[in-house]
Amino acid sequence: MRNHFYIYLIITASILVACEKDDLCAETTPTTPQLIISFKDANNTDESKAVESLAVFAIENNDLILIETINGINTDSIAIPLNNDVEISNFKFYKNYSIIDGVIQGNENHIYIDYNIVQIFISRACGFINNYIDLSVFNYDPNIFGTPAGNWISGYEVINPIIENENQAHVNIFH
Amino acid sequence: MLIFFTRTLLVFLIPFSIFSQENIVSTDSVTSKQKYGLRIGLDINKLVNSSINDNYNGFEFNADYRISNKLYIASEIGLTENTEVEEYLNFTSKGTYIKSGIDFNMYTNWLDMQNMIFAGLRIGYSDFYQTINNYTIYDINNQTWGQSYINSPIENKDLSSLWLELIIGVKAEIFNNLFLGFNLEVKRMINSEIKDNIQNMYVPGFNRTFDGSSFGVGFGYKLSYLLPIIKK
Repeated sequence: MRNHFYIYLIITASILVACEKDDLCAETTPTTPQLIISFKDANNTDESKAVESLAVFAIENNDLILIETINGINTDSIAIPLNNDVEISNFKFYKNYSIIDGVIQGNENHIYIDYNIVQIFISRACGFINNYIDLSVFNYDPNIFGTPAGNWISGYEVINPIIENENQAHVNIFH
Repeated sequence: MLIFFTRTLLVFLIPFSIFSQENIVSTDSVTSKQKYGLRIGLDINKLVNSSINDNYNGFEFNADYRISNKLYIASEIGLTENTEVEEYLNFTSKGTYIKSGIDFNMYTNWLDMQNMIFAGLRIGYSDFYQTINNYTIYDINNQTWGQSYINSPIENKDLSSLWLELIIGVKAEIFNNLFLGFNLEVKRMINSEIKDNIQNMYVPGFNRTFDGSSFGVGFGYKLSYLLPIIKK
């Protein structure tokens, strides 16, 4: 009769060895939100105004990195990712963007975005996301940084300084 | 998880069907003496796991004391240090735990045998800390700036958890007074103190926790020795 115990032990043991964990971050999990920008008419600040052939580049270590989804499109609102390594992001916004013989054409505007990062724990599988607070947006100031720029943007308005989702615009840009 | 529970359930149905025929046989009236005493032991799975798994260190002592024909007071005490590597983070939990409760023997032994098929209930408590050693910010729009990897640990100390545990298992006397046992544990968290809104992903004694669920599972392989005090 003792044999029954051993059979039982072996069966249970072998079944337990076969189980393994299945932790993957689900696609539907909220990710780190992007900054949502709305373009408005400088003369009539309530009206949306599309930018003709807009391209946005992130600036990192003097390199320009094109944001693939904003590559010469006509649009009155965009979503751009912020830099998660430092609490400052620099972008170049081009209006009437095109590339001729490998040279960028169009009107450029250097934008400087300042914020603080707040890390939010999501789950074992997804880890942490970032939210951003204390958002402020400026024209990159040539007096401080020593680079002249022919700006086409006339002003900024931070509507919501806390970036925790992508449901509505955080910043209005007037042009 | 569903598959796991179904399998577990199946395993527990097997012994009952095997043993169900024995009642017919055991109708003789030989009197036998049952040993009562303190049984102490340790968990061999945790020992083996500690030696082969770089991410795990732990041991557990267990003891039970027979108070009636079918009822035992039982307790486990242990220490665990466990590191888990997930897709976006890597964390270590370290702490001690104690579990106390009863075991009820459902198996009618022949003569002087001491085998058990038992169900048990425990209340468990753990004091521990959880450190997130390093992590990568989850951001599906990271093509532009690249992944943000953070190597400064987040350490949460003085965490505690309280849970209830249902145990089902067997113990077989393999030599005189020496027992080998196997048991499965289903746990339900009663209270788990968290810090910085960070989930307690692994609790010593409770094992891993599941998102959006208060249940946990575990098992043990226990080697124990009976110090007989009385026979009756």
